[in-house]
Order: sequence, then C-alpha cells, then structure tokens
Amino acid sequence: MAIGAEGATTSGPEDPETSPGAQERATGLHVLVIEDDPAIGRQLERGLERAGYRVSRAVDGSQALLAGPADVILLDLGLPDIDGLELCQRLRARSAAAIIAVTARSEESARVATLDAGADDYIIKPFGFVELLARVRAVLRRINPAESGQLRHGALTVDPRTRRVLVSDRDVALTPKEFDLLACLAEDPGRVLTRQEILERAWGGHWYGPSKVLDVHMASLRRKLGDPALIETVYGVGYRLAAID
Amino acid sequence: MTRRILAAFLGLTLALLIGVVVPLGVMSVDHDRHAFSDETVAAASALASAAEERLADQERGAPVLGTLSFHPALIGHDQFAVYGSDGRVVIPGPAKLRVTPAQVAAALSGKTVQEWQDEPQDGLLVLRPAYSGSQIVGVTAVQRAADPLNEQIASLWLGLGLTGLIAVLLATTLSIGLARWVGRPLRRLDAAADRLGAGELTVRASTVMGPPETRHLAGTFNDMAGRLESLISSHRTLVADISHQLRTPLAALRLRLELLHDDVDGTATGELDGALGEIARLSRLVDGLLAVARVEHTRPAPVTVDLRELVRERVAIWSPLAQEHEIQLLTSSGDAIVAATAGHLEQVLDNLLANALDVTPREGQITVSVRRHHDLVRLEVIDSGPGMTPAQREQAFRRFWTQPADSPTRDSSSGSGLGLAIVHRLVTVDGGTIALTNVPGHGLAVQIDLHPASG
Repeated sequence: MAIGAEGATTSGPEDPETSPGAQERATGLHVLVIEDDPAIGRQLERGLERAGYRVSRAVDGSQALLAGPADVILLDLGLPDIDGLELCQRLRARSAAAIIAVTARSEESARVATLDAGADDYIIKPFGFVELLARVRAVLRRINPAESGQLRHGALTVDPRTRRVLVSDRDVALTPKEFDLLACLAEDPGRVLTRQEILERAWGGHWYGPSKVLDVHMASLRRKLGDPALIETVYGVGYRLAAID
Repeated sequence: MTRRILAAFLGLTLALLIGVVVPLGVMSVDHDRHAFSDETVAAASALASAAEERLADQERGAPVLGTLSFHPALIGHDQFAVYGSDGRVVIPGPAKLRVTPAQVAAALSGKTVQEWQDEPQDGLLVLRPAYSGSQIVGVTAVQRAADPLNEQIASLWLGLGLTGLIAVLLATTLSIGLARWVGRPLRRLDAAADRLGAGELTVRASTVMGPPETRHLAGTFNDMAGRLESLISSHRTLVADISHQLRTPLAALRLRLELLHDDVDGTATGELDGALGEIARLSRLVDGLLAVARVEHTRPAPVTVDLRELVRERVAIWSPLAQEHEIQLLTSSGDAIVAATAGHLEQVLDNLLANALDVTPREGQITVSVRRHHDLVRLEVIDSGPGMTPAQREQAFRRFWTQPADSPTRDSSSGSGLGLAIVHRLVTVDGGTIALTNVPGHGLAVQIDLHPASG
C-alpha cells in the first residue's frame, strides 16, 4: 500500500519479537515520520518499526512533499523550511493519510489551529510510545472502521468506534472523559497504567491542573459501571481493570 | 491638595483684608469725623461772629432783635442757641438742643466745647465763645445732626465689605482653578498607577496636561511603566520559551529510554523505570511552568458567573471521590452573582478541592461556602487537615512552594508547587483577593473575596 519515494528512506519492520507492548502486532502499514530533530526522528523510527510498522522518514518540508503515499503521517510542526500548519494543509490536500501533528505547543488555540489545518490528531512533546501507538491505532480505526475491534472483559464491552460501553448487554452512558479512561484500561486488562500514562492518553497529554481530577473521573466511572471493584487502584502507581475470577 | 491651596489663598486674602483694608476703613472714618467736627466748629464760629454785634448791643441794654436762623454757615437741621456773657439765654434753641450751664460756663472761660451726643438726637454739640475784640461777650451753641456722617460711614464700610467679599470670592475661584490644574493630572496619574499595580501593564499617563512638574512626573511614570512592561513580558516569554525548548530534548530522551527499556532485562529495568519517572516529573514541571506563564498572560475579561451554581456543579463532580475517601463534602451557598473571567473559578475550585482532599483524613469533612462579606462575595473552602503555620501561609502562594517533606499529609505524587500560585493569579487577575487562615477545630480555610457582578 505504501510506496517509498526519493528523499525518504524506507526500512522494513524489525523482528516482531522485540516489539514493545504485547498487544502490538506487525501490521505492515506505512508511517511517514516528518521530523527534523535527528534524536527524536531516529527513536520514532526504531519504536514504530518494533511495533510492526514500515517507516520512512523526511527531515524537512520539501522532502515530505516529495515522499510517496503513507497510511499515517507523523508531522512535526516545527520544521526549519515550511510552516508546520501550511505543510499540514498541503499534505491533507494531496493525501488521504491520517495526519498526527507533533508539537511542543499545548495551548488550546494551537491545538485548534492544528486540527483546523487538517490534522486528524495531535500529540504533544514529550510523549511516550504508549500514547503515540495508541493514537496511531485510533486514527487508523477512524480511517478504516473494519480494523476496529470491540474490547471485552468479563461482562464489560467497550467499542472504541461507536464509543459505546455495555455492562451485561446494558448500555452505560459515560462522559467522553470517562469513556477515554475506560478505553485505555480495557485495551490491556490486568496491566497497570500509571497515572501519568492515563493523564497523557485521556487529556491529550499536557493538561495541567490538579492530577486529582483523574481520581475524580475514576470515582465517577466506578459508580456508573455499578461494580466498584472492576477498576482497581494500585496505590502510588495507577489503575487497572481487575482480573476476572 | 485642593483644600490646602484653598486654605492658603483664603488665609492670604483674609490677612490682607484685616491688615490693610480694615485699618484703611478706620482711618477713613476717623478722617470723616474730624472733618465733620471741624465744619461744625466752623459753623459755630461763624455764628458767634455774626452774633457778636447783637450781643454787644445787648450789653448796652438794647434788646436782641431779629434772627440768625438763616445764617449761611448753618445747614439742614442744625440747632442753635446764643447765651449772654452772664450765661443767660439770649436766643433760645429748640427743645432738642440740650446745653448744661457747666458747658456754657466752660465756653465763657474761652474754651471751645465739643461733645458727641446720643440724646435727644445723635449729633455733635459745639459751644464757641463770641469775642468782641478780646472780650468774651457770649456763647453760641450749635448742634449738628450726625445722620449724614453716619450714612457716609456706613456706605464706606459697605463698600469696603463688598470689596473684601469680592476678593474672597476671587481668591476661592482662583485657588479651586489652580488646584484643579495641578490636581487633575495628578489624579489621572494616580489612577494610572492604580491600574498598573493591578496588572494592566499597557497603561500610560497623559503628558499634555497640567503644570510642567506634573507633566515631567507623568513622563517619568511612563518610562517606568514601559520598562516594567518589557521586563515582565520578556520574563514571561523567557519562561514559555524555556519550557518549549525543553520539550523536544525531553521527548527524545523519553523515547530513547523507553526503547532501551525493552532491550535490557533484570535489574536495569528498575533503574530505567526510575529514570522514566523522573522524566515524567520533569515534563509535569514544564507543563506547570507553561501553565503559570499562560495564566500570567491572561487579561481579565470578566463575565457574569453564578457562583452558587458553579459551586454546586463542581461539588457534584468531586463528591464521588470524596465518598471513596469517606470525606463529607458540605456546601452552604446564598445567591451570588460575581464578575470573573470565564473558566477561572472552575480551575480555582478544582485546585482548592484537590488540595483539601489531599490533607483531609478519612471521615473528615470539607466545607465550601459562599456568602456576602461587606460588599464582596466570599468563597471559602475549609478542610479538616492540620492547617498551616504562619510562615507556611506566607509562602504558600509562591511558585514551587510545597508542604515540607516531613509533613504527614504530604502526597508525594501530586503537587508541583504551582497550584496555589496559579490559583492566586486566577483570583487576583479579576480583582479578587485570597487569604489563608487556620480555623480552630478544623484545618485550613482558603478565603477568596470576589467582586459581585454590577448591574
């Protein structure tokens, strides 16, 4: 599906055995990383390859425009030659790929401008692979609904595509934030997600305020699910979905 | 200042009036009275010389005939009488003319008698000896009414009084005008300084009005405000820039460590987890600094906020967590519509409730109340924690202030030490105030006074 092009280097996926995250699988989908900072660019390439993606890289805007089609474009907005938002618009005009903007700016106005320029999502530095891969999967689900899979855990069913939650086949109405929290926990039941990871996933990374707000939403979520024991608090670390007996 | 200038001007004017105008009036009155008495004496003398011939005749035994009534020296209602050398009346005067024998005797001895009388009519009585050669042959008495003199004196004082009044009015008008001229630019400067103090850094004073000294002062103020503005804005951009610049290397470091984490095994993963934890902390600090920089950039844009509704909503959101910790979350709120920038009070309440939940032990309680306090609205959050020492309260709004590490309630996972600094800024940018006090039997009370929405 993806074709390498001049100006962009393409490398194949590494041995899937070394992929981070047990739930990751080698998809063979093509990710174009547009990043001028060599340190970040190199790590992104390595991490995405381990997760099973084919990765090509461009170090500036002109290279990016010459690159071939990709399934997902990871676009750093702070490039030396072309304004990030302008490049985003041009890429959007010529490609159906999902665009995830990478930015150091967390203000609401900057995030809105990014989405308005055609980006499907954004991720704010400094991010980790857990969040990055989750966002890549999310945009791919949106492009290709067939890829979406319902997450099941005992009586609980979470559907990321329709954003529905069922407990024993009964609909549970959640706020968007509560859904996001439950979705990250349900992706890998039993695994502990740290507070930091959950905050990054559910609050677009860099929300600043009392981190207690996370506990507030968890408390409310537990109530709505009707089974307080379903979400376990791991003191000093984070949360996880309780194992089923 | 207006009062001082007015007092100085009026004092000067009154001193001038009392020191110059009053003595002038007194002198003038004195002069008029002298002239009056001189004229009366002259009239008596003229009458005496006219009467002299007849008195000489009378000495010789001839009767005094005719009248002196029409003598040209006499004017208006002058009364007169003539006495012989023996003191007897030769020409009797009317009843209004009261002359004592002692006065006649004194005149017969060669003196001129002058006496101011009130009865039976206000006036001056003059007795003048009449000489024939060097021999005194009789006495003439003239009583002249003082009415014209009194009128003259009254109109003199009236004139002087009016002049004084005009001078006082003029001084008042001038001093008020002067005070305004000097005072208005100073008042404007004061208002500008007030607004600058409240954080409106672009405010400048007018340098085109008022006396040169004030204009110079306004210029100096503007220079200061300009420097302050550029200093503060460069400080803020510095904080934001540094935070931005830190994010890229932080991202690279984090990604590298995460990849390394998958490559190594055993004891090294523990170390890497620790390093990743430190990076997370650093990231949170950078986010916090950016949040502070952003909140310090906020300009007040107050809208009408229903504080009672807002408190109800935030408390409802926080209640499930409070219940999990077996903490009672109580509210008491009257009607309160306040003026605040949209979103600020939500953040303030979230931060305060988070702090309160951190320090309140199980089965404790947290109270959120809203009530009128003088002409302001007071929002108060009281926890059941250990409170703070006076020194801690003083430091609490500073950046990077956290509860001391040995504090039993300190939650190491939360608190970058920026929460209260942000709350402080969010409250003060809308003109509110925030204070911390210990409540005996409870814990810490955070008191926020907000302006009610006008109109």
